[in-house]
Amino acid sequence: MRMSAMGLLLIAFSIPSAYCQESFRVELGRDGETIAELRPVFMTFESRPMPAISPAEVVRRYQRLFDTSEEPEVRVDALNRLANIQQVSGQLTQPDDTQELRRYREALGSYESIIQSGSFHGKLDELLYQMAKAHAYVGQGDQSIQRLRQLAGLYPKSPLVPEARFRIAEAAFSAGNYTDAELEYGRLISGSGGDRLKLKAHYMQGWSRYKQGKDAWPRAAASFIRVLDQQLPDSESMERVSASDVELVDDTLRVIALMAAESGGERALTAWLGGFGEKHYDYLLVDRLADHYASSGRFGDSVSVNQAYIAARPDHPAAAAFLAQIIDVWILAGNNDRVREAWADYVVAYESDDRYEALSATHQELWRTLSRQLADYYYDQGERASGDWFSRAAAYYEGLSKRAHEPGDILGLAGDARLQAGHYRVALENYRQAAYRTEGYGDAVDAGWAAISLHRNGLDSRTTFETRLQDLSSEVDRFAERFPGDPRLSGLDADIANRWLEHRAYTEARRFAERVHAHNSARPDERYSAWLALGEVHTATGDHVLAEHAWRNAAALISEHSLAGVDVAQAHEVRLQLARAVYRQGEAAQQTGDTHVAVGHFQRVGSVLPGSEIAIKGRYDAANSLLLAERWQAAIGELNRFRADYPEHSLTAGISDKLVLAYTRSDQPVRAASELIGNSAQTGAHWPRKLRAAELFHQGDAIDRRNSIYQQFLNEPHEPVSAAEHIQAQTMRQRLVKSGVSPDHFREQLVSTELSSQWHSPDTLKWSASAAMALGRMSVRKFEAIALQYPLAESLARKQAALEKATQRFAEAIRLDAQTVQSEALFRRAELYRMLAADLMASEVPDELNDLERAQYQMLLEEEAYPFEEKAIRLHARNHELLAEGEYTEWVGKSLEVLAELFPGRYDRDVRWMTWNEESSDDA
Amino acid sequence: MMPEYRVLVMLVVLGVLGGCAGRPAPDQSRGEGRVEPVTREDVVQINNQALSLKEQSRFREAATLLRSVIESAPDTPELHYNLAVISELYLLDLEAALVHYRQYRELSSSEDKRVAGWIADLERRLQ
Repeated sequence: MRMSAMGLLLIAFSIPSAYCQESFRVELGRDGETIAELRPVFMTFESRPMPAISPAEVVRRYQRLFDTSEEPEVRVDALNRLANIQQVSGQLTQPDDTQELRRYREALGSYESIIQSGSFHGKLDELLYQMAKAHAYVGQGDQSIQRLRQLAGLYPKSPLVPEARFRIAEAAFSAGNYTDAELEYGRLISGSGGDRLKLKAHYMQGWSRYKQGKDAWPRAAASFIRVLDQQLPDSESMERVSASDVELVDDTLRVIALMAAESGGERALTAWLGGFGEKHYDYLLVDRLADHYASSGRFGDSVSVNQAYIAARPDHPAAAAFLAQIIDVWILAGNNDRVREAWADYVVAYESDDRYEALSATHQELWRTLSRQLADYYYDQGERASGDWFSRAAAYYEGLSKRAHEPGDILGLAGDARLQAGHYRVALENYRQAAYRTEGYGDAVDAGWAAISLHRNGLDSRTTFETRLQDLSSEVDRFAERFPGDPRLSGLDADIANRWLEHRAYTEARRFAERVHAHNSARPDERYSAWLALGEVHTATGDHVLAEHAWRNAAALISEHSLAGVDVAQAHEVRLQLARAVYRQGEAAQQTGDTHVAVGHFQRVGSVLPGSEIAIKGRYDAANSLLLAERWQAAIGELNRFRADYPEHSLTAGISDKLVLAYTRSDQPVRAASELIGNSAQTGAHWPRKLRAAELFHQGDAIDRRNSIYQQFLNEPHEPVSAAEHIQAQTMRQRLVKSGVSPDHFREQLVSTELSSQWHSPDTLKWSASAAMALGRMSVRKFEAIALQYPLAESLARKQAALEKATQRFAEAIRLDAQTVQSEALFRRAELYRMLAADLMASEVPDELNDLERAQYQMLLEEEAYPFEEKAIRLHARNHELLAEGEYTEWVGKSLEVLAELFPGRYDRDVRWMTWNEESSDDA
Repeated sequence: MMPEYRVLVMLVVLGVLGGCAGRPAPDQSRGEGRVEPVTREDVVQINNQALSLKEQSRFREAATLLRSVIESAPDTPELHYNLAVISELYLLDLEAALVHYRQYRELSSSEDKRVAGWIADLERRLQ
């Protein structure tokens, strides 16, 4: 396993295939089974430039020179040149092992000869070097090291000394003499060798120390760190590491990590480094250490070292890689819970925009992937068990939505998660953002619909989301504007319309209901619902014309389609509403005085819902409208037809009164009275109607029918309880008297009732006084009819009784209405006495009387008559004296005439008319 | 008769006649800016007019008319006689009746025994 950052490092350190041209090789590059068996990688020394001619030809020529020359120097020189050519030209000129071995064995002889002869003209240090090489090649390692020590000892300033020391150290290392090796490497490091060689020396010194055991590891680490310091002097040098050094650096990192792993982990590492942050490449070591732990099954340690570094350097560019590596470690460990925790740590670490923006594209993609995985995981958990899973899922979705390339789906899922978590307000915002603020989101319409559903569920108490119908309406408006062609809109608008209707918000209800009809795709049941809403709205707002339109359309839909849930009862209800709308139009027209229109509407109700109660009421009110319009004859016809069609209907009870009104106002009092009489029995208290009928009969000159009612009424005991009732009864009596119906009987009732009543009116007083006078006159006639016959006493008594009766009537008349009847009453009373006196004087004289007796009897009669005549004169004189009150009546005149006869000396006067001839003429 | 009296009499006559519903208005040509003496014809006309009023039971108007013409023609006994009768029987003004019965007697050329009796009765009733 290797984390991605490390992968990059490896790429930088990749070894080119041409890496095989070296003049000297020590095979130390393979790890052993134990730490003790670990070996450094192979080392290259130096290379030389290739000759300009064909290497194969040059090799062939030098090989021939080497084989043919007898001179040791020539042969050694030829051998050196062969080696150089083979070094730079590669396999094309490489001899096989047998040939090479033979060549060096022969050369060793030449070297020995030169040294022994002491006549070598070349550089002896080089000769020693070549001999060391030849010994090494033929397997004489000790001799080779000896020659090298000779070289270093005899020629310390030779440029071959550093290499010689290196080979000495290498030999010690190979022999397991690590202390010697460390020492030799140290000498080389402190010597005059080149940087490159010293680098290798540091490296091998590190290994030498490493091989000495744990106690030497801090020193080893220091050596290795020197290697790294040299190879990676700054952060940019990572990119410049040569291909040949990649493995060196990699191995250095590896071995430091190995030592740290066995020395307490990151504590040891930080100690060697002087703390995290002191070396810019420290993260590579941490990575190696963590990698080592992971590959060793020490997952917790691996994570810990990563976490320690992240904690120490949270803003390090590799921190994200370390977080990612933690994830991989836990995956490797098979610990899913820790994996998710690692996911979460990663997501949280780069939650802020500035940290996220600082991530590489790869890590940004990783962040999004992890956010989605976490969100999906928690959403799935939420569906499986209770807890705050949905809330956690929503948070990840929401975070992801800000960085997703196409956030629509994510926002939708965030909305769903918030919805499931009961975070309705946030869910709503997520849905809205997905639906209306996410360009190119293919399922935006579903998100918009989800927002609407959220409101609806809240309003319907299916959730605890506190929302208002206004909010739902706004949501629907937004949806309609954004997705005008959505086929669900029509049903939705119908639903909202009905909701507003329940709140009696008629303007809004109307707006949504009318919008339903703007959708061509609206289904019949949706249109039906909208029409119902409009019907209710217009009914409530008093626009009954539009209400009729709505109800009529609803009814049409019922008849044209099979609407779910619309049964016979509801269909009837719609028809009833339609009928009511028509009826209300009638009422409205009636109120504005447009009676003709009102009647038309009322009568239309029957065509909408024949036989219904409202249709009946419509007909009834049509008649009422005609009455209000004073279209009496039309009203009479309508009322009569109504009564004929609905004789048992409750409204029919009121028809009679309306007919009476219509007949009365149309100057048909007799018909009005007949209507009253005809229905009086139905009312129970019939006399008021009968008496009203009588009055109407009176107005219509149906006197007999009137009198019949009067007589019935007066024949029953009715004690008036008010002046009006008294006057009413007296009026009846007066009219009966005038009609000649038992006049004396009703005159007597008039007089007696008026005299005993506490109530009077000018009319009743006049009528009763007149009646009393009439009765008096009748008594006078009776008085006159009584002849005074012998024996006088008996007839005189009857005559006096008649006189008293008449006098009583006249007195009653005067009590009742003195102003009107006093003069006549006085005259008639005076005449009674005058007639009595005359009758006495003219009364029958008994036949048995002689003349004297007859004369005496006559004188007695005169004596009896005289007081009556005197009384007559006094009464006439009193009547005459009424002139003093300024009132001259015919009865005063009559009294004067009588007085002129009875008392001519005082009352018999003539006036004198004058003529032109100066003579006056007296009236006769 | 002084012109002032004629004018006054005519005004009274016109006023009385104006209150007589249904009766034709008297000739007014003589009152148009010209002052003429009350003639016999005037007295006859006014007297009879007053009696016509009496026939219509308009006794006070009749008396007023007579009194007015008496002012212009105080020497006409018939005027006093009629005024006395109307005052006695229809206005019950016995004193006025006595006055005018007496003036009638004084102006009459011959003695009227019936009137003398009436005067005596009135004097007795007024005592």
